[in-house]
Amino acid sequence: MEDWIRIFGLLLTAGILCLLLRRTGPEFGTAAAVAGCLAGTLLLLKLCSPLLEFVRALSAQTGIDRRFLAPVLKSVGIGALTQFTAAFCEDCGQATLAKVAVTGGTVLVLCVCLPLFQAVLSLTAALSGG
Amino acid sequence: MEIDLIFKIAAVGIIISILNQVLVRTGREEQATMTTLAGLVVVLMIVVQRIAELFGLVKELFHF
Repeated sequence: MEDWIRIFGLLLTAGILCLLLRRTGPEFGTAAAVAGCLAGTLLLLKLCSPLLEFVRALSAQTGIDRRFLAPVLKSVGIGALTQFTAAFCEDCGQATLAKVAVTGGTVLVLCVCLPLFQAVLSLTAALSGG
Repeated sequence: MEIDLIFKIAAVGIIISILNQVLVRTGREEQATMTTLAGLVVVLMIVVQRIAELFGLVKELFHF
């Protein structure tokens, strides 16, 4: 609970400082916003680590192959980084860069999930006797 | 402490803004631009270190 309060406090402080800095120097306002986002994301990801450990333990107990779990976790990581990068680019007023970041993230997720698609394809072929 | 990062950037921004105003009022626009640029580079250096930290954490957490 204290961690959440700390994150909310940090984000609120960053927002107020951004408002203050945008009047005098817009580039420093954007930098402060990015720093606030970074600090918040770092704290959030540190909070998420027990959750990820639980998912890994659950997959080990249920006997799910690590080959199939790894792309899912990697996709979550790529999604988080893509969202952060796209939001940063949009804050800087560069919507095109944000769209490129989103497209890059999508392509990267598809590449990471390729072994899953191949496994589904081979399973379907085996079931249909091909 | 994470909040120190934001306060550090805000402090640099405020100092650079004051310096910028003083230099512009005294008719030294080129120096004002250079000061702003230097401040921006300093801030970017701080932010880039944290971005590297974030990417490292994501790599570690999601087993890249």
